[in-house]
Amino acid sequence: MKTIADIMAIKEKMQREIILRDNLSENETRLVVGMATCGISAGARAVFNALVDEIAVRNLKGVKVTRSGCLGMCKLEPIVEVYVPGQEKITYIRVDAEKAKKIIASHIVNGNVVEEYMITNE
Amino acid sequence: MFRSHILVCGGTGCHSNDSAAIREKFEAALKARKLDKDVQVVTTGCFGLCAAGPVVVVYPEGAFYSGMTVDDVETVVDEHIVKGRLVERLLYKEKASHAAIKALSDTNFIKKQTRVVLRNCGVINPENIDEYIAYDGYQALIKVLTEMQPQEVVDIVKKSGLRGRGGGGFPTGLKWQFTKDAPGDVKYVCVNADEGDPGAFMDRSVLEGDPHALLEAMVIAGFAIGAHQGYIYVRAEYPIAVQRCKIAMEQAKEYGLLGKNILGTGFDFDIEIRLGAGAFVCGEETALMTSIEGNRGEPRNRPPFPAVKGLFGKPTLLNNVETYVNIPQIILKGPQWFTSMGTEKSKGTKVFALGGKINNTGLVEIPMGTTLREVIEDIGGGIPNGKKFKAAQTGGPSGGCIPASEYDIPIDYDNLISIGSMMGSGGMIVMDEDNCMVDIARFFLDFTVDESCGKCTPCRVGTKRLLEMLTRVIEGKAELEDLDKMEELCYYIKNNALCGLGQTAPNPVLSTMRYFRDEYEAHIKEKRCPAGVCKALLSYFITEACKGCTVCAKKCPVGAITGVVKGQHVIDQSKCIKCGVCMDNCKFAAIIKK
Amino acid sequence: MRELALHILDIAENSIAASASLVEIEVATDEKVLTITVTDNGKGMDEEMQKRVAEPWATTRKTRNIGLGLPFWKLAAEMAGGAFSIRSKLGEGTRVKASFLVDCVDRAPMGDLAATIAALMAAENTDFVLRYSRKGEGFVFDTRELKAAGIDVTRPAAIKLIRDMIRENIIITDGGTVL
Repeated sequence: MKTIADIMAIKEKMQREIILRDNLSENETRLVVGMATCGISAGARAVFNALVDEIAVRNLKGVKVTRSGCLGMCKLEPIVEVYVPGQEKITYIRVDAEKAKKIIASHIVNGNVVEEYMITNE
Repeated sequence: MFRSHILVCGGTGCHSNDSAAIREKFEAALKARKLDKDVQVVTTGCFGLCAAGPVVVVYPEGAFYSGMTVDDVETVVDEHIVKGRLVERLLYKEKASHAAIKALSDTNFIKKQTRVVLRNCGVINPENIDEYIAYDGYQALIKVLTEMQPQEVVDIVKKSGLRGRGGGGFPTGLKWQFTKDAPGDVKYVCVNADEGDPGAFMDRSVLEGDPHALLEAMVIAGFAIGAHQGYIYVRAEYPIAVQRCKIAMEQAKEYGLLGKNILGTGFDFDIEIRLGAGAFVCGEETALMTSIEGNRGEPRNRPPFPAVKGLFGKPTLLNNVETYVNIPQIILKGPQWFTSMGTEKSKGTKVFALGGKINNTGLVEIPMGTTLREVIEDIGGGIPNGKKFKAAQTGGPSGGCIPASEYDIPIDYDNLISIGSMMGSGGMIVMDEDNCMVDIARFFLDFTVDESCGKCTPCRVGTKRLLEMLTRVIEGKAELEDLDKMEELCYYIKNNALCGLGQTAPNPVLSTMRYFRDEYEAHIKEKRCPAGVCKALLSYFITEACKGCTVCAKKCPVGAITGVVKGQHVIDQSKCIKCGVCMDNCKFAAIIKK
Repeated sequence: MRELALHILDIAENSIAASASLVEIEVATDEKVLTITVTDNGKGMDEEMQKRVAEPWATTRKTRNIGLGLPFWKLAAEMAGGAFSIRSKLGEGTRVKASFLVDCVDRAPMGDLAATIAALMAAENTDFVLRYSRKGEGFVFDTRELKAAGIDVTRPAAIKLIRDMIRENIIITDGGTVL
């Protein structure tokens, strides 16, 4: 008979072994978070981690989160750019952790761009 | 730590193609090269792409090898494992493009799916509880037992909008609430794994590929409604599924996740497996419970519903496998996560068993609201030989067909019902222009006539009479007014049968008559089967293209073909049994049917 | 920036921009002083540039490589009774060192260091080493080891898992307190 702590220990030990089975894909979707001083101070790290969590929790394959430097629109940070293969790039501005989750649910999973967070020509 | 993992599919499809021998060969080949400490060989559940079986996936590259044989194993070990080169020849090829696909995740088949229920199938070793735990297994149970009250669990299920995946689509949370609220000390949690629809095998796949998910969900359900005993009713025709369930239960007991005082929290829950003998009616809930009790599997009247008076007369929660398997993830990720997938009234995903005239025969899981076109063309890889889509049958013998005019309909419970079909348990049989819809209706009706338990007259006698009328259509002996009589009989059976089997049995007939009345009329008025399927209305003829090679005459099993060498042969229509062997073997396409 | 961990992310981003293949982050605490050192093997800078880095407002407009990050970092250290130094050699790399008095009221909290490392791991061509110690106890995290074991550390599932492990190790090491 195991205790709850035992189960947790098994989980951690096994996760290190099976992480190899998470698949790599050449044809992947990329979410790029602006991570320069401006982005970081506006909360880019929380956005980055929220995106990673949401993708991991939903077990989405072929989706990666990466980082980029300053995009020159510091007042619009945190900025997330979404590259889906075969589609135009979408730029989301002033993203926070909650918006990040919605972007994953709506744009990445269901394929609906979240227009209200998109950059405009103002 | 292993540097590479070789996953060999051990689902029923690949198993019957000798995947067990492939696995053994891998182990032997690795051992011979002293690589058995570096490379792990794992048997998994079904990957879903059964048409490509036996399949093997090698990580970390994720290389997806299909149609493997025992002889290919040495090649994969030498090339891929030793030298690090992919074996191009064995990589899976997408039928549309013929380009070799490197990784499983790059196939359209996998890319367009959202895997919730099937998330672990083909990923973990179902006979190793530790691997299930690694993928968040039993975390939901820990959360429920240590942090939540039973009512909170029920509330989460209600909020998720989950509906029964077995057919009817009843809100699962409500069912849990009714069973929880029913008075009584002794209650039961029951699983319907009696998957009887021809062509449906998603529950089998889950049981084979991720049995612990079901066990975890059952314990959670037991906690939520106040039950301490569960039953899994599974058909004896699923030996691998039964075996893996038994192994899973033993491991769960050893870990204290099942049995007395689960994880030291004081909650008791135990599970027993009951084998069904394969009667279709035992998938009906009241018949299923009667069968578990040890009686002849016959349905009874409802109400009382199982939530009030079920197994052994006690309040019973009965859901199907797919419904339960959603539960742990809903608990862990929250109802909002679940409701973010699907349509307004149908949340989450649905697993379909794709079969019939489709390139990628197998299991697919899609968010509710995906269109039929996406399922068939993107995931299913289209229809073989460039034929045209005619219809898809969903819901098996209880459902109906979706015609080409509804190709773009978003698939969910309510849309399917509005066009006269139903979700059912998830069989999806694709038909092309070569299928005769009258014949399809007869196939399903023939099945229900066979499977009717005989307890009530509308089903026992009604479906039999309906089948006789349908057979007359197929033999070209019917009159037009017979169609009206058939329709009347259909509604009579639907309204008067005792259980779901009878109430839905006429659906394939009604649905094909609704969308393909012209085919019925062609059989009756012109004595012609437009698709060229119904034998009674067909004749085979030899045209002038015949070179007199005599192959057909030699092949004909009844000696109906005569002729001299290098002269045109003739078929004696009075002897011909219309088996089509002559046509299949003619090298000059000189034999036609009309 | 409200956390030291955010500063570290910002400084390390400079290292990535300077095309470093390895960035070592050392976070060491004794009884009184917290020292954070970020060392990279990037393209480095000349002496002229090093001098200008110390004078933020005179230089930030001229170079995109440095930005406002270093002056902020220097300010944060000096505000907390610590010191700041930068040593660099063209073509060899840069080391940025900042120290803080642990108990100074103006010292910003450490914040979520694990989340910082998680965000850095997504950089595909740069490896990271985190050396974390407190009063002699500590641990080392090295992405090169993970890569050698065949783990793609740029995948979300891996990032999340590793972040949670680092977070736990930090909590164990500093005895459950948040620095």
